[in-house]
Amino acid sequence: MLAVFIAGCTKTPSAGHAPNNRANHNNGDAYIASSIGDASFLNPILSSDSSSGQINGLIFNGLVKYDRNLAVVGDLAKQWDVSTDGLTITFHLRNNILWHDGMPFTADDVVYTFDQLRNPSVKTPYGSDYELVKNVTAIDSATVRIVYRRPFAPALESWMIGILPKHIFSNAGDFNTHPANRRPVGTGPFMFSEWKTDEKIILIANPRYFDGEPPVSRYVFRIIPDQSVQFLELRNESIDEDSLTPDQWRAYPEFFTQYNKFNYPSFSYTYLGFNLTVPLFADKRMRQAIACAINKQEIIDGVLLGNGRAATGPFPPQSWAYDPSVKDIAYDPARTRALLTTLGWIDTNGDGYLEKSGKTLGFTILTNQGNKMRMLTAEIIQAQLKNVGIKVAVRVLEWSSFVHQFIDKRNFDVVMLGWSLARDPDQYALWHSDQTHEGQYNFMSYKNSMVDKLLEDGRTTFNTHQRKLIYNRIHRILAEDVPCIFLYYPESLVAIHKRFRGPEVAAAGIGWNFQKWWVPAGEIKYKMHYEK
Amino acid sequence: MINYFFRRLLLTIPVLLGITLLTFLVMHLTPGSPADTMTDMNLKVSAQAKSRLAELYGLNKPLHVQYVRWLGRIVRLDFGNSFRDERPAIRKIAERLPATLLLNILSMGLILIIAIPLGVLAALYQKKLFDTVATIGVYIGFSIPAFWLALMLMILFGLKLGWLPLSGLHSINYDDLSLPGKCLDLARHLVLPVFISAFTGLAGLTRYTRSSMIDVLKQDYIRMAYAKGLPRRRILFHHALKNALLPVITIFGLSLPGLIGGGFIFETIFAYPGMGRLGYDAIMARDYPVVMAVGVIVAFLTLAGNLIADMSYAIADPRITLK
Amino acid sequence: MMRFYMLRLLKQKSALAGLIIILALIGGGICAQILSPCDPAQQHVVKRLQSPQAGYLMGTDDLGRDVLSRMLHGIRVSLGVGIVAVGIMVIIGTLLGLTAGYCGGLIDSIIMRFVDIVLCFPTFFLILIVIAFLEPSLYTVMGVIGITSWPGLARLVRAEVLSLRERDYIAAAKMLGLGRARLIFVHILPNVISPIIVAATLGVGDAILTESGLSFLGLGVQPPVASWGQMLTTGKEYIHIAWWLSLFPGCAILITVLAFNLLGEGLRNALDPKQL
Repeated sequence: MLAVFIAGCTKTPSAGHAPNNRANHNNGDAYIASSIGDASFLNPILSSDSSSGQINGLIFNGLVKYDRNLAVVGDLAKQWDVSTDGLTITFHLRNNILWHDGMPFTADDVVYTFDQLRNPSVKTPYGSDYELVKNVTAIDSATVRIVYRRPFAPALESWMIGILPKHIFSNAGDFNTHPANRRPVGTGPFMFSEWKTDEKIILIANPRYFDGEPPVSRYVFRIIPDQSVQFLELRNESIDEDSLTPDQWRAYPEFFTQYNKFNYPSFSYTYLGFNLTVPLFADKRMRQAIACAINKQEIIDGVLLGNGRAATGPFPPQSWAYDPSVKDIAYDPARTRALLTTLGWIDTNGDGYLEKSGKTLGFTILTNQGNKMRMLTAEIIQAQLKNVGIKVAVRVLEWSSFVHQFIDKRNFDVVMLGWSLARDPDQYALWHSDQTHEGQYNFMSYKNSMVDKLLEDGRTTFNTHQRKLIYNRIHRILAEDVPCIFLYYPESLVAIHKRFRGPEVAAAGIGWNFQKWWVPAGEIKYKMHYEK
Repeated sequence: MINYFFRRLLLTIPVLLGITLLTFLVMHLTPGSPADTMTDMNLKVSAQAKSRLAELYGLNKPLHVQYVRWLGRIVRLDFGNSFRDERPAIRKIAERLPATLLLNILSMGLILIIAIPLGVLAALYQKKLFDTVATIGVYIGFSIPAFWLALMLMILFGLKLGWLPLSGLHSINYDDLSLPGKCLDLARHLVLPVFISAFTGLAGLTRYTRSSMIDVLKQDYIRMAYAKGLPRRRILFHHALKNALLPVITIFGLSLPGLIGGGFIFETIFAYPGMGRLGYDAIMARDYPVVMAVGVIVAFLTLAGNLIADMSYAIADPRITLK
Repeated sequence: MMRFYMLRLLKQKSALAGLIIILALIGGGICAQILSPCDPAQQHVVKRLQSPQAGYLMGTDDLGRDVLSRMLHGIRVSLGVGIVAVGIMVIIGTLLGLTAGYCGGLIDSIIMRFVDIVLCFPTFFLILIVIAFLEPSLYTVMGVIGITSWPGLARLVRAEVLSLRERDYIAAAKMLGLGRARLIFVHILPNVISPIIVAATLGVGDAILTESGLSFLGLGVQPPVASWGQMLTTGKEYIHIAWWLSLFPGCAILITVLAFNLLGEGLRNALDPKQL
């Protein structure tokens, strides 16, 4: 449940953690990770759930990847060139990379993967990232050229998708139901070994990995669907990794004598989104009034227990697009009352809630079932808005009906949701006015021609400095316009067993160097009996 | 009797059809679509991609066309592929069967072994201390929320005492164990789930056994048997018990589908890879083929259970004639 | 006559205990407003997860709300769900069971096939649909539990009627030319009342437990209304650091369901005409 394992190599060894006492290199031991849900496809272009993503990240490599500081570096590609017009990217692949079955990796595999992404009969959810691609050609076995119809700045990020082995898939059968989707063959640091549905997935270290065999020789992905039981297993030391709730993070220190705890900002934010087509929220002053009545600090202290910070806009602080000079809307209930009075909302019948022409000021916050943080946040906001005379109802809905009946049909006043963000700041899908149709993600129906223009520019500009200026402006406009109330940026909280050396928090999170983690010989817990 | 059997068997066909039709309609009327849950508000997935997925799954066809197609395949025993991982639904079910059957047979066996003697004894010692203790005991099992009891016992026996593993079905090193070691490992993992599902399921059978035994003991023919001076043991076990078990058979026949069913909450707590989780996850993910497959199989077993209950009822009670 | 049954009921200690507990709960539910030391919805985030102490006899929850006050207000919700749901179950189950058992033939076949379909029908679907279409309110939860729990009772009643039908006194009554309604309600119903009562009392417990299961899935009553099931589910998440959050609702559910069962058991003994 670590954010995302970005597999691959990093040529920058961290100073304080130089692996010098790793005398017995492949010293074994198993790493027991835990997850609430099972994986679906061990095929990176078919799966979209986080469990599959976590496993696929260990088995497959993309052409490029993010390093610890979120800079794009080579993975299967050792280097790449972008033409000056931004329309052509040429990837130069590493030589001598072998698939787990021993076959050589070539440029044909890249072309094959792209063909599947654009193949209409392949059930991939990712096709649209590659719509702007005109063609992908293998120049020779170690060079791939990708030509775009229009410049597309997030293009590099899209080539982080795992590359599939052509020789496995092309020989027989339907791509969607191919047995390799459950017995994957990749190029990554770990090789598939076993999958017991809804129980566990086992991977073993790849001895021929191009960046060296991982010291941890077995990776076990246990499925434990209940979080309380996961924590019980952690206290019992039967799992080596668990993501924690803020309360668990703060729990008794004796629970964690054998664990190291790590916290780092996650790439996400939680927000209260208005349906801007509802007349009540069409007026910016109403949205500002509500924003002033919400005490974010109380939410962060009460729900996150301090493990997070108040959000000012759509980019998290560790992103280069974040503008630290944007000021948050201050908590000021007096201003709320003043604004609401100007708008004509007055408590005429003395029930504590404001009215205008016989209607009580109120709305319903919808949120999805199964997210404790959001439910608690909604309950706190309900109490805070009651203080200024706004009557809030909270409704918690099952996910699929929530999305289908309420979000897609625009059948809501206010939603409480969160976005997990890509590392690239392109948020065209979230804020552009042509993304407001059913099924699209601008379901708040935000329309601002200035923002539209900036979002378009941001996608076609390759110069990072210029892009930063564009996204800083978007940040500022959205903070001013209050299309939604940005509540907080939560932290990821993780416990990892102490015997593992090497975990280190960086901008990329914690799993970025997982294939370099190791256990000192004397502390090995699981002795291996497998033979190669 | 044979006639009756075949007539009932024929009658199950419209019922099965009715169930599939109803399940199908209800499922498609339930808001949500498989594309939503699969893509889970993932920003990398566009609306076009979602509608393309729906098209590939044939979800944009009219409902009756989808149903007829499904029926057409089901006649050939093809339950379709799961939307979630493109594997045959029937295989996903078959995969869960061993673990589910293992748990349910063990716990049902345990219930039978405990509940019937307990019920009979409670009836014989009616209003005595034994009866009271047994009554309260089985009702505590019935009354306690199973997931709470499970968590507490996991903390006690797993964490504090360290006697039993917490959750799952196998240890991490299961594959490295010898055969007896494997059996022991499995047994240790099964202790808590079997105990809890038996303990919480004891009340029904015990109480029905008890009350029907009490009813029977008051019948004229039992009094007559006593008056005739038959030995008590013979009266109790030959005359009384056989009649007392009549309603019990109904209860037991009804619980037959429970053999492959499974409590979702229970399996979640124990991280147990059973049918309950498969069904629940399929419903939540709107994985229609799996839901339909589970529905058909459970429905079939339920009908079979009912039939068996009625048949054995007739065999055991000659006063009832099946026409 | 009523007095006679009452006396027979009160003579049984465990039933008496159950009755007292239930009456106390009903009293507590009615007076929840007066008995509660705090407003059950009042949050004090700084005082979250306080262990039981003077002022907060059962501690505070994850939003700093007083658990005792929430438990008292939860009585109304949990008991309400149980009683209403069972009311629905008994009415449907008894009517259909009696009709099927007495009439037999085609009517029996149709009713029983209907029972089969409902029994085979995954309860969870129905709950999902209702919750997706209607407001997921207290009433929805009551109704859903009620209309999905009756088939078992209908089968049981039918089985009882089937065996009664063959008894001599019914045959005699038939020969005397008694009316059908009179036969069903005067001669058959009193004889099947005891399994109905047993099933109904087990049913109240079952409904309260089902509600807690729904809460476990997040599909139960919605905040800020609190049922015991919902509180127990919250408590489960804090079982490692705040034992009181699960202990009190868990025990409350256990004791309540137990009390209903003991009372039902007592009623069964007291009402049984065969004990006359």
